[in-house]
Amino acid sequence: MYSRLNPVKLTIASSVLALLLPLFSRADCNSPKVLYFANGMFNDRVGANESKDELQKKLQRKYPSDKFATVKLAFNTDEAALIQLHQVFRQKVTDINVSFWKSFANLLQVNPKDVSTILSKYIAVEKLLDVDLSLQIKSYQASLKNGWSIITVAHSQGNFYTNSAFDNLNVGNMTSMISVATPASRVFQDGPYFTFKSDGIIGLIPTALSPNLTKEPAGLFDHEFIKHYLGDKTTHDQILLAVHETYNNATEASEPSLDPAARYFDNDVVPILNYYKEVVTQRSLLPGQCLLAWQLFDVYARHGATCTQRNFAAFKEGISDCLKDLNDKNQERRETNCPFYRGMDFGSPYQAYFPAESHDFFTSFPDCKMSFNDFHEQEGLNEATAALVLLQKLETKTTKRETK
Amino acid sequence: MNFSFKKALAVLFLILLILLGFWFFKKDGSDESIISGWEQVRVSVETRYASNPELKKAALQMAKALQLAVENPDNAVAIDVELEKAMSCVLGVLEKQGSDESGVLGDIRDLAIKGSERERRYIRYNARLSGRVFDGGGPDISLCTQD
Repeated sequence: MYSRLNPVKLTIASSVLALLLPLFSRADCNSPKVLYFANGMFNDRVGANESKDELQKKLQRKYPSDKFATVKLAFNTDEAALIQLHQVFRQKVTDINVSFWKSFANLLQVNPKDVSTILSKYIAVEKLLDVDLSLQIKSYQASLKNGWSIITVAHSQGNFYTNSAFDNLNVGNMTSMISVATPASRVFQDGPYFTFKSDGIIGLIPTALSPNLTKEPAGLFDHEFIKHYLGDKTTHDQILLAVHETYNNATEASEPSLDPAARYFDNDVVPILNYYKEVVTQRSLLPGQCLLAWQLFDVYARHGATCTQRNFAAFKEGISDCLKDLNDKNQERRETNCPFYRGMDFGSPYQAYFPAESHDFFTSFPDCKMSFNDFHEQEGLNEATAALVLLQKLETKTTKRETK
Repeated sequence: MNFSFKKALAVLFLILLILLGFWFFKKDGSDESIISGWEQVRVSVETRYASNPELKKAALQMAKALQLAVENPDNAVAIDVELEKAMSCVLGVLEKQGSDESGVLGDIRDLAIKGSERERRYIRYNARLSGRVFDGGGPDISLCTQD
């Protein structure tokens, strides 16, 4: 990843950088959002995909300005329950033209006692059944690592899984949940929920959150995501509004932090923060990597600035100013954005201890604490050029991530 | 008398054969019936979407993927790649045609997994995918196969 370059490329790199800077000086601290749909027991793979697609389509139509980075399906099913329900269903309905998957609405009528018993046994239990959530948690973690915040619309039993996954992630400010037809007794961080009083499934579960919507006209089942919840105009609007409001509720971090999830930096800095995490696990660093770390702490320390000013452009300005200074034959010291001239080489206790992460960094990598002249002597020009090239690679990562 | 007895035997044999054939086609628990079910599925899909050749082609792509799913539910993770592409294809065709119809994917599924044993196998297929996250499945006509 890190390579040394010939100094003759310096001028070209600097010029290209100067031309590119305005293109990337976007201001966006609110991280991109990713929308998940977590299906319930009565959605098979095809039905769950259909529900996810329908939700996405309706959101795009109603709130076209809400642009999700991606939309995913967190798929769950319950084999044991479905096998039992299928057995009951096929004992009563022998006509194979009657679809098992589309006839859940009739299940309660077919054999109310048996079906109620099965449903109560499987859906009312506030625990994970036989579903391993590790893959879903990994997917959520990957989204968070990208600096994306997560909005999950959970339907039916998908609520149990989402509550559990979000509890496991424990990053409340980046995960939001909207519950539909929930059998659970809570919504993660008290998010909004929508359950019909006439929902025939949730009505079987005494521990579920009290139904809060009236459907007109009421049916016997009223549990399906597309047909009943998105099919009811008022509820449809309420669910979409909840997603829209959650989408726009993202706030900036109040506490300084190098954690991408904290949103202290502009979102385009996330690849640099992830790179930093990798770098600090190494035994020793090259001077160019030290320079990047200095620049990181310099931008980090800009308290008066807004998060939009702690952005990728600030990194580039700092490093390119260092390049200009290193290239200056007169070695004239000026006040520029290069971290050398912003106190990093003064060795003051303040610089060593603030921010706290810089103290840890210089303790681990004492060789990184050097003056401008030291740096210059250690192939400074090559190292700074390499740092710039690395930044450009990380920038490509940023733009790819955003266009994904 | 002897001739009539032979005749009666032949009739009985014929009836037995018909009953056997009927039983063979009615029973749907064997691998043979699962696999031979494809021809019936193909005809159902082609009939259902006869008036819309582009959608018919996409629906057949999806039905083929579901046929693989019921034939080998334990290989769900690999098969699902094809199913997801096929669902994208169907949704892509609908989007291209400006159709606002919902439930088409479910209709194709119902045609493709009809039968008690096929449904059970499809439940198993779903179980093998439980806990996973899927990124695709949105409308994308480029995922339609060419054949």
